[in-house]
Amino acid sequence: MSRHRDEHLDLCAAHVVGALDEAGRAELEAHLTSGCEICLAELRALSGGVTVLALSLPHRPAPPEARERVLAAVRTEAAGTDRWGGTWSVPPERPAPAPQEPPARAGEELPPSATVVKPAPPRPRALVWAWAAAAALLAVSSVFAWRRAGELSDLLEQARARNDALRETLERERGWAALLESPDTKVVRLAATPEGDPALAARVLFDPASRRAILVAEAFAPGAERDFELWAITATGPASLGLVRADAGGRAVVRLEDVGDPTTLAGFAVSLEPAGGSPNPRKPSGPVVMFGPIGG
Amino acid sequence: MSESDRDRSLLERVAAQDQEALAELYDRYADLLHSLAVRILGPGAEAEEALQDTWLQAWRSAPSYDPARGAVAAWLITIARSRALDRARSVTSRRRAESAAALEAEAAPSPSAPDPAAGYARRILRKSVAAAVTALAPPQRQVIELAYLDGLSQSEIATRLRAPLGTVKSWTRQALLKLRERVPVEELP
Repeated sequence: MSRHRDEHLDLCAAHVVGALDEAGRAELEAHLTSGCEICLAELRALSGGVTVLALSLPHRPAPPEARERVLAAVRTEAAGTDRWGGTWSVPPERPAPAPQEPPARAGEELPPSATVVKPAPPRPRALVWAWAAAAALLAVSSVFAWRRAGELSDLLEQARARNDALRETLERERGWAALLESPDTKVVRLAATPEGDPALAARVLFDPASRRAILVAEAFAPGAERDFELWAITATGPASLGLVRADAGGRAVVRLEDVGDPTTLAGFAVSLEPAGGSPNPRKPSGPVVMFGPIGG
Repeated sequence: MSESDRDRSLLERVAAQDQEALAELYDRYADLLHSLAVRILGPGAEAEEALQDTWLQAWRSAPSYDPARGAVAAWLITIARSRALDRARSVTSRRRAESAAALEAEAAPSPSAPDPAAGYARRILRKSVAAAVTALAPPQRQVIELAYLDGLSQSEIATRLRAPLGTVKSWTRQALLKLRERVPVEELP
C-alpha cells in the first residue's frame, strides 16, 4: 500500500470539487487503489460537503416533461440502440391505402368528396362538377368548422377549470410556503423520550402569527394496530393535533391549520396509541415517545 | 432503511439494468441535479440536455459506483456537474451571457409541485444547508464555488484570488469539511 501522507488529503479535496489535474488524479487513484482507509473516509466526508453545496443552490425543479424524455433515452440505450436510432429498421413497405373514392358513375368525372351531394338532375357536365365541388366544400368545411368550434369551446372550458384549480392550489401553497420562509417561524426539534425508539426523528415548523405548523417525521413505523398521535403541550395540558400516519418509508408530513394559542403553547409531543388514537383528546393513553419544547 | 441505503439499493438495481429503479432515483434527484445544471448553464434547453446526459451516464456507469468513496447522491451530483460543465464549455460566451441574464430575471423560485412530502422535507433541509454555506468564510466559499460550479482549476483559482496555491488547497478542504460538519449526517441523502 502506498504510504499515506497529509498531501493526499488535499488531493482528495481537489478531486471532490473536480479541480484535480491529470498528474494529481493519477497519484490519488494509485493511492486509493492501494486501499488507504484514511483517504477513503476523507472522500466520503468531503463528498458530503459537495452534497451540501449542491443542496444550497436555488431550487429549480426539472420540467415535468423531461422525465419521460430521459427515461425514453435510457430505454433506447437499454435496448442497445443509440440515441440517433442507429439500429432502427425501416418498416416493411406497404402499399399506400387507396383513397376512398366512390364508384364513379359512367360518364361523370366526380371528385371524391362529391359523394355528399345528392344526385342532381342532368346538367351540363362542367356545371355539375363546379356545383358539386362547391357544395361539397361547403358541407365539409361547415362540419369541420362546427366541430372545431365545439372542440375549442370544450378546450377553453377545460383550460379555465384547470386554471381556477391551479390558482386555488397556488394560493393554498403560497400560504404554506410563507410559513416555511417566515423569519418568525420556529423550528421545534422533537427528541425521542426514553420510551421512544431512538431512530424516531421529527420536527415541527411553527408560525406563531398564523398558528399554522408543519410536522415532518421520519422513521415513524408504529407497528400493527398502533398509531402515532401528535399533541400540543399547553399551559392547560395536552391537546390532540391528530394522528401522524407515515408512508411505507416511515416519512410523514402533516400540515396543521391551527395548533392553538402561541402564548400558552409550550411544546409538541408524540404518543404511541392504539389504532385510531387516544380516546381522550386531552390526554394521551399510550406512552409519550417524543417531545420537543418550543425554544428548546 | 436510511435514505442513503435506499439509494444504494436502487443504484445496485440500476447496475443490473432495472429501468424502474432508475425512474425512482430520477424522482428522488432530478430536481436537485437540474438545479445544479441550471446554476452552471442557466435555465433552458442546455440544462435539460445536461440532465439527460447525466442520467444516461448514471445508467451506463452504475456498475462502477464505489460506495466506499461516497454516497449515491454525491456520485450523481458529480456526474451532473461534469456533464453541465462539458456543455458550458461548448456553449458560446454569448449564450452563456443570455442564460445568466435569464437566470437573474427569474430570481423568484418556481412554485413547487403541490404537496410533495419529500419536497417539504427537502426545503427544510435547504434552510440548514443554506445556513451552512452562508456561514463559510468568504474566501473558503469562493474557492469551492469557483472550482465546483465554474470549473476552474486550483491554480486558476489561486491566480483569480491572488492567493498561494497551497492556501487554495487547504481552503478547499476546510470549506468542504465545514459544510459537512454543519449539516447533521443523518439529514443528508
